[in-house]
Amino acid sequence: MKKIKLSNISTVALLLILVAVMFIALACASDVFLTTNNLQNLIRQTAIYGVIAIGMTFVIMSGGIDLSVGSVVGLSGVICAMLMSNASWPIFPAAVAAVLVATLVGVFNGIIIFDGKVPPFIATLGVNTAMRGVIMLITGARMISGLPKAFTSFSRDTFLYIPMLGWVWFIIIAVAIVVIKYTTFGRNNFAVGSNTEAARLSGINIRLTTYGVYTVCAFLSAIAGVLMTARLGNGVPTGGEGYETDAIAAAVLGGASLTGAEGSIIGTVLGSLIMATLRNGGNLLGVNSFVLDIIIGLMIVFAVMLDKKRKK
Amino acid sequence: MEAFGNELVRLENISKTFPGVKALKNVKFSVHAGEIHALVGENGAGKSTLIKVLTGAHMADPGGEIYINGKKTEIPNPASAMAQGIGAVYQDVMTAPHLSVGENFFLGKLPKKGCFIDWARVNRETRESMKQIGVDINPTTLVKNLSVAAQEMVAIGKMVRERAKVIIFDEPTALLTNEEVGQLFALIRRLKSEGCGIIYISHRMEEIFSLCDTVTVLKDGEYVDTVPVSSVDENGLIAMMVGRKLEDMYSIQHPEPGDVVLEVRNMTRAGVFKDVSFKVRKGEIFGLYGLVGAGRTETLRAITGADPFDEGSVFIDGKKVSIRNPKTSIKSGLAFLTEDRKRQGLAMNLSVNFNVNIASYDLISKSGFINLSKEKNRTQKYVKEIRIKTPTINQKASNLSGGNQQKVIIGRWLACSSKVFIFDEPTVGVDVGAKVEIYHLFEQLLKQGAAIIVISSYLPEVMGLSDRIAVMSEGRIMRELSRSEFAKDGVMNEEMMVRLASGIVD
Amino acid sequence: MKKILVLMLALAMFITPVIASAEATEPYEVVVIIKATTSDFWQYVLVGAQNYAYEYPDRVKLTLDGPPSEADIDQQVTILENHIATQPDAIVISSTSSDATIPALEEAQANGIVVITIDNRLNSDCYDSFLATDNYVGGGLAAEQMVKSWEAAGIDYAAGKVGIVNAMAGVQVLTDREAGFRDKLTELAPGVEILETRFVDNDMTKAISAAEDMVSANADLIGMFGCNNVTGDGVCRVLTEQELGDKIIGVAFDSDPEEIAGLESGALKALVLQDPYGMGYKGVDFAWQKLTGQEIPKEVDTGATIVTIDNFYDDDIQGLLDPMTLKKY
Repeated sequence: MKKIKLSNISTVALLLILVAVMFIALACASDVFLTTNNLQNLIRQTAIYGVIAIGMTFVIMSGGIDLSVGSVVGLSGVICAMLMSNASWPIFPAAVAAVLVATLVGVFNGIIIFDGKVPPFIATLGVNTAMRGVIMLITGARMISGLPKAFTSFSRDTFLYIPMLGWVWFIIIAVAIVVIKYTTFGRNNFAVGSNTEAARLSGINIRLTTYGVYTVCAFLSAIAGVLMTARLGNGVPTGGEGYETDAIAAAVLGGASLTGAEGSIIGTVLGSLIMATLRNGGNLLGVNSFVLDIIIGLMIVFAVMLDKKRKK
Repeated sequence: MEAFGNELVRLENISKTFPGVKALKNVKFSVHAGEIHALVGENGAGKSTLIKVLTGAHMADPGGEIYINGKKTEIPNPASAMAQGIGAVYQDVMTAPHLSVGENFFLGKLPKKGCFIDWARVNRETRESMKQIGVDINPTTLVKNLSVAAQEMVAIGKMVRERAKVIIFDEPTALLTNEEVGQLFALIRRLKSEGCGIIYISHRMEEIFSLCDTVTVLKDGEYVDTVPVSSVDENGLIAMMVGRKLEDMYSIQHPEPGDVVLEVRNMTRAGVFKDVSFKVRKGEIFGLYGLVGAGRTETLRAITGADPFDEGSVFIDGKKVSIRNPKTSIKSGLAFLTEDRKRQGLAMNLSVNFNVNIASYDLISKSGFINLSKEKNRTQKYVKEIRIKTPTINQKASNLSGGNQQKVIIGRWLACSSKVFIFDEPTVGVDVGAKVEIYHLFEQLLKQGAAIIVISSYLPEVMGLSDRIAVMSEGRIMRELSRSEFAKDGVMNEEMMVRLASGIVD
Repeated sequence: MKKILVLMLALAMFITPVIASAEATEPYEVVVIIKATTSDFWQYVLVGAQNYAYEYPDRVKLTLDGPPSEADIDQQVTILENHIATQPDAIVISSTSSDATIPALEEAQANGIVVITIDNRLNSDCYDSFLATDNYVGGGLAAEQMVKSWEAAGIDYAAGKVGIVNAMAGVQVLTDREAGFRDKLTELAPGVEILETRFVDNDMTKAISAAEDMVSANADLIGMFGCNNVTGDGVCRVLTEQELGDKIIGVAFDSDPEEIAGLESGALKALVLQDPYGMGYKGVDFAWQKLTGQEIPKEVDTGATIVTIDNFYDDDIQGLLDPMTLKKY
């Protein structure tokens, strides 16, 4: 067998191969995997995490980390539910208001990190805990039900066979790719992640860039929160707990480096897809939950190891 | 030729192949007791690879032979190199900065009394070892609180303690002040007199001539020659290194100076620099000389908005500009090329393309969207114009040589249509060939009507290049000298410069 | 005006003990200590206890207490010790830790205080009676009901598959429920294959995904069991969205709004409820019985109740679903 040179393959190609292998293996192992119904499920199951992971990718590219995404997801979710259920707002204004309010958490993160000079890990860790407290306080730790049918059915609706949740995800992917590739914000983000001092001396506004990435991350997490509420059919106060780890894992799996300036949106999308496919496949085949956790964990480590080796 | 002692190390027929590259081809090298042996060559000549073979970081290709004290041996790893008496001091000293001097000395083998660390012994023995090399450093000081020079001393002390017989110095003076260089040289000579063999790597020619006994030249991974230092002169050595004859590399064309483009009045930052004023004209090179810590870099960082200042004003083309941050300074036409390219200049893991455009995306974007073809064209233009050697514009900056990295940064500021280029130690870590090219770039910049400020601690460079020089000491400009003053009848008055830099006024 | 007030107060002070002693003996002092004051479940326990005291003011006089959260083990011990110092007649306690409260409770018993424990078993014999829901039995009830629902819906359970969505591994209550369900279902419907349990980190999104995948992977799925409220919600969402309520019988623990809505819509066929109200009510009653010299059992299962659409509207079931409606005081 001819030896394949790892260094000639890009991260994205590597991930695509991985996805292809998984799809083929699962298609062989389970006759339902490739059905329209299951693929739709897979997209639904990936979309919410996928949107958060894209936000996380922005932050990681800038050399930061955002551990508060979980509570931002929860906050936006419960605000959206409360506005629709308790205050009887129509769906659209409620969703927009929820996203805007939850996005402020990102601005807050940016201020603490840049102006307060608190390391991102600590700042967002603290904000995460505090925001979860806010959620519990405003909801009294109770689930919010009685959401409009039109809202909750959004998560089941499809357009051209693709679930609406998927469409939202796809649109966000497209916009994110454009932002990273074609905008000064996207470039500045990389510059800051690669070398903050060089970026500053090159006239890049570090303050705005820092605010920017955390705001983008919170904004996307907030959108994910609204999507999650639609899917759950309830405002769930504990919703989004622990999602930061999945988002970080997806981004890292997709080639992002926690030291900044590395990673891509497509990589993260594939990373999210791989994680979701593993869970979906595991459920379909009835793999023991604990074994599945072991597989997913090792997969992350292995993929990143392979990628590092390739880059050497 | 001096008579040296025994041959301590001899390398024969050393080759090293990396995938796709042959870094060393049949190189030989030897060091005797009591010899200071310089290893020179341009970047990429194979010096570091040879050193890595000797220190066990790389294994030489089969066929290479290593003799220590005349006996054939192998050095499979760094520990083995240490055990056989080979130690190295690097420019970015390899110590653990958050630990104390004593801990660094005993790293990995701290002595114990019962189940506790015997700190008294650590401190006593560390102090003794440092005394042996004539340095008095408190063993409990954290290494990060020491100057680079002191850190090097610590590294040397540690090697002496571990009875290294061959000590390798890799660009040890890159980050040292003149005074510290003096101390270091005294120490190296002392090691020599005690019978150590020294391998000395430096880009600074005058160090080789003042310190070393023998010099071996490598070029493109191949052995060129080994000669006694007394038998060559600077130009001869450079000719061996680059394989061709060089004119005096500092003699570049200076156009007739034009109008004043930058004027600085009464810049002051409490405790750092005071009342600094100077003018720079179009088409001239303005040198800023002084010892490290004299406030040169700090002053220019303030002028370019990188650091704050308390008082003073900056005029560009006669108009007062308000400098609040790097962005406003860039907009008014100032370009600052930092000394530390790795930490402050380049986004190392990003592409050449990105690094060229990083400071001027505003100029090629509309409402936040970048015109990618303009971005690419611009980079390609500069790659061609200033001859940046890179396979593609998508190459990562970290993969370029020092000289080419410096060129990428120059390209960056050209893209901003800067008027004044401020170079802080422009040729640190750059090999001779690239140096010459950078000086030629200066020539080009001047021709295009730019003004250049050079901050340098290296006298031949600053005196060779500048039309005027301001000498700084302790945050003040001691004196401003014209070329006719510091180079009377073509003879460089280095002594006067050093006196001024040391704060002595005649 | 002031004088009248003082006079009335004096009168009241004089009369009250007279009335009390005239009508009955003094009520017993009973202290009720719960695990956490911020949780609905424990509030329901208190409603039960207080209703008892309201119904029988001559039997007991209650003092209620507890730490804010179940994590505050040491605080609960401090509270307990302080109450023992006041020498009440009985203590009804749901001890957060199975060990930490033992020394204090042993001392209480030695001082003649009646000790009734609820919900959590102690690793010692220092109590007079222990009341709790047997989650293993509760899981079994869920299995029994699933079989009944199959029969009612005409689903053949000689073959087919059943899925279990569980919230977390390693939590005793949940483990017991799952084990009870598995054992009973195997006994009643040996032809049914029970699929590998899906654990979902008590996250509703993951619960939905797991349920969705079970449905799509197994065309012959005839039942799903959610071991708590979150997993119940997940199962309920999927069965509601895909309108599979009549094909796949959904049974779940607890009574979240989502689950109740599911029961009403037919997406879930049954809920298994614990009876925190009953624990409080019976706990205090047992304390009184013991104090009045009656025999009480060492261990009591307060039982789990099956709620289906048939008994959903009964008053006592509504009381179980929301014990706050039972509040009498």
